[in-house]
Amino acid sequence: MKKSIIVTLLLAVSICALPFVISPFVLFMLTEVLIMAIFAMSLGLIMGFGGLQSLGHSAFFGIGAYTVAVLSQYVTSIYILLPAAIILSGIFALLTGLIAVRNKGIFFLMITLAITQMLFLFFRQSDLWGGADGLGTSVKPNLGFMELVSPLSLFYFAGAFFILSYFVLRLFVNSPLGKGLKGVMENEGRMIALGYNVKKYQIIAYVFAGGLAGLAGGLYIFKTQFASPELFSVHMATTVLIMVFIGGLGTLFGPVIGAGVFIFLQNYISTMTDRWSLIMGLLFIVIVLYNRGGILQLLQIVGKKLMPSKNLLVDKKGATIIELNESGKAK
Amino acid sequence: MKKTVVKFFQILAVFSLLFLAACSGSAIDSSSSSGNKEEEGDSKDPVKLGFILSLTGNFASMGTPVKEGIELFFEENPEIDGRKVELIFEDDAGDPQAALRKYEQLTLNQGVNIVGGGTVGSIALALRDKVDADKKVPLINVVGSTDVMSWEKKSDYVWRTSFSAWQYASISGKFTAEGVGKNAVIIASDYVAGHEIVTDFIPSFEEGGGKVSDIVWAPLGTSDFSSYLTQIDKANPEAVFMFIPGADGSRFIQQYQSFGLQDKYTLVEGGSLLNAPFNIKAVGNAVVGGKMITNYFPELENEVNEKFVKAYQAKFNKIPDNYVVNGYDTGKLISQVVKEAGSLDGEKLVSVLKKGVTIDSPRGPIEMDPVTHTLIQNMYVIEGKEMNGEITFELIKTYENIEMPKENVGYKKY
Amino acid sequence: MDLFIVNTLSGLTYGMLLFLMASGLSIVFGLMRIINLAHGSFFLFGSYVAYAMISRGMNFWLALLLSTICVTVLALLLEKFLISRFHGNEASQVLLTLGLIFVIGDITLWIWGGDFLSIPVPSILDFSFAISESSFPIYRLFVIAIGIICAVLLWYFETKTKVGMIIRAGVDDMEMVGALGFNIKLIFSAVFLFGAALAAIGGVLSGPILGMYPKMEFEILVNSLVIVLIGGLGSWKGAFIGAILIGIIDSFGKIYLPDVSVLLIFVVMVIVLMFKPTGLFGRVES
Repeated sequence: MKKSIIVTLLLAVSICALPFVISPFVLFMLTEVLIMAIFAMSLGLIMGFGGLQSLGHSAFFGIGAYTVAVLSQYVTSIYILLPAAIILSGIFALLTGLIAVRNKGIFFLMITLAITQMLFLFFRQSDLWGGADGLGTSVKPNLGFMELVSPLSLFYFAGAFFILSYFVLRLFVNSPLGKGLKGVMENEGRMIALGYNVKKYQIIAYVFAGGLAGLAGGLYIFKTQFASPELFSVHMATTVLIMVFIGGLGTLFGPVIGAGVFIFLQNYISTMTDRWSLIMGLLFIVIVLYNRGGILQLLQIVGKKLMPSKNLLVDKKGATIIELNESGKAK
Repeated sequence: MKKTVVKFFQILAVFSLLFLAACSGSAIDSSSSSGNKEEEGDSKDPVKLGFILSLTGNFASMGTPVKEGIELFFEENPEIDGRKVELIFEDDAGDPQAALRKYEQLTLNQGVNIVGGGTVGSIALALRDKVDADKKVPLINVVGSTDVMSWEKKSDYVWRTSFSAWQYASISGKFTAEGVGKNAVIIASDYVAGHEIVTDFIPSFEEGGGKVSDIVWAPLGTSDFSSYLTQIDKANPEAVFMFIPGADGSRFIQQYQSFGLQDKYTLVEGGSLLNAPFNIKAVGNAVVGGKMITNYFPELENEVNEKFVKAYQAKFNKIPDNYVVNGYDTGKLISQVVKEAGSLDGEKLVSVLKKGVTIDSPRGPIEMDPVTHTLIQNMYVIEGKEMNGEITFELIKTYENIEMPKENVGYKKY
Repeated sequence: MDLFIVNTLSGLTYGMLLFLMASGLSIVFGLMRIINLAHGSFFLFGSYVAYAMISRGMNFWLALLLSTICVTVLALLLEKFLISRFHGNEASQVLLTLGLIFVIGDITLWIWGGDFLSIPVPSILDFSFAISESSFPIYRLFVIAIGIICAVLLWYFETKTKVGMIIRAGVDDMEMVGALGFNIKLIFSAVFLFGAALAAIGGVLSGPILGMYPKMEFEILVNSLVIVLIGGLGSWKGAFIGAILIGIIDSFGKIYLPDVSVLLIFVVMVIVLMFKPTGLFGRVES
């Protein structure tokens, strides 16, 4: 608990300080990174701690996004919009989770894929909400006492939710619920023998992750002010899966690094060459082949080489993450 | 042994990432510093033009020709009024979200003066909203055809060099009733643009005395049209009006032939697909006998076009389609507007556009309508022919100076 | 009546193309416990390679053979150097194949561009026959025939040959087969290649009907996954029934339920999975 607070505070300080040293465009990109980081962390939770490989996580992101885009035509207060996004995507996660979580591994992957594809087709063809053209909105985050208009305030807005999500996720992972979930992933048979209701753990995590992804989707609309069916696409689901992987599976902070690396790489590489997909695919294969821990683990190894005296654990616990934050910021 | 290999790859990966990060960092620096230098110089500021096009993905067959047209124009005219032209092309891969990201990059990071883009309707609309909210740089919409951009969603900062759904569909309706037959079946892609085309087609077709006996909505991404073809066959019409853009449309035309409908009912195409080089390459003589409404075709006889086709063939070694012309005219429009404005200020550029600009285009003389922000242009009806194994298109009718209605005409929505 | 016949035949054609793709997916899973997400890329790559040959004047049948070999070689390389490194690690294998989709997809985009392409119908089959007033292309009947022949061959292979029996035993208990002295690795590779070859045949045959363009592999993949889920993983019979079901639903849904036709196959899938989580013919416990 104490550690969680320290880590969260460190994160908060660095996010507050960042805008003083970066250009407006990097600020714009980092806002996106923070939002996608929430999305990636939520997938990281069910994949890295629950062992549920999902190719349909974009469903919740899209539902959150459309909730905010559609409701913003009637209300502007974030106290209604964002909770609505979380609740609706959470409910959808519960409904689909009841079907999907009955299966494991590849079955789970395929069912989630089919569900998100279904939503994609539905929203693309629908007469409501702009169909394939997407839905534009002019909504800005309305905090009740003020409206956030500038890019800087939007960055802090996203940053605040990022820190909050990170903190809540840490609490979740370290709670008995989170430990039980991990226990299920590592040895389901033993957990059943010990009398745990295994499916209950997985569904709770799935709904939690779905709600969080919905939050990220809602925040995304405040940034782009535009919802389109592409948010549901398999491509989007794959993108976030890759973020989790290149960052580091089984850690909380890995997906955050993954989101950052992915978004910046994507932007600069796709400007330089049309072969972004090829490069991304190769990068992904290399990471799967050689390093299941992703960039986070790479950093740990490099850190170990540079500072042999420091005791860096590879088992992804709090102390390591603090070290990594610093080395992450250093570049 | 194996461990060292693994470690080697890990280190390699880190270094390549660091290298990429360094490259990207320097990319920002160089662009911003070069911008400063030129501002200090004596000569006029260069014109920075940013284009967001779908260069990969499903709509690459539309985005790439637009890019080629733009490149061709600025290769012929490397300077506007003594200003050097700097072209920046960004790929949105057909995704509006990516297009918005690229827009921020172009305006915040590269500081472009004019943005061009909107390869598909959804992207054009997404960019339109952003550009209208920012009111910093004008947007030249290169393809997006949705009518509302001339009416309710008109913005001082958004101008269209292609055509509108109304221009294509209402002329299609008029022509079908006049020149093909009074009984038609419509098949259209089941998404917003398809519904819009059908909405605009039916009133003018009915005005000419036509009757629509069936409307078939095919979902986007339909690969097998055989069920729809039997449905059309059942209705036994004189004309079949189709609006199915992209790969789906080519599949339809091909299956239309293989199910023997080509010889029975006249196909009228309203999505600039029939004579597109990629379509002819894919479906061959299935286009023969098909009629198409378009604002440009390469066989068009006028001086500007002859020069244009020659120059394009010399550079790209193929025949231009109307997307190339959209790109080419976008370049022409920009160059004329910058010249007249004598400035790169967004507001001044817009005020020139609002006065009305006339361009000598390969598609004939065209005029930017200051009211609807869409070109006033000729619409041509062409028909596919086969001669000695070569597919060509022949002009069969011209509708001159087609102008968008100034306000929403309020047709019944389909 | 003729409307009914034409739609049934169309549904079967589409179903058979999907069957060629889905059966490979299913058999590979049954034995190796991996879902090869890049299986759709084999399908598409096969049709692109055949296109390249045919557009240079090669005979359709020769191109069919050569591109099948070509895809099989590609599959062999991938299996040998990438996928086999992860025996027993299903998650990594699936993710690896996910990465391969992007790599293969982008390479085909690089070589053949983003335009829609199509293979001409071989001239020997390029005519139609009449069903009362409607006509139906003979090439589609040919595709249906090939699909059925493949199904019969699979049945014969599985029940009547020794290799088939070993594989059948392998689906139930891989370790047992290994203990009996058979070379598991070889069997794995052979089955993987066989699946890839079926996908490539499907891809080439679909060239004159569906054509090809980048990202089509996703479309084919999602449909095949639905078929495999409905039919039951690991069973080619399930894939056969599932493919026919999906083809027919797709074809009739377009006429009778046009508004929801694209969602129909998913609805069927959800219903099947609710009552039978392992699919209609699934033997593998989920």
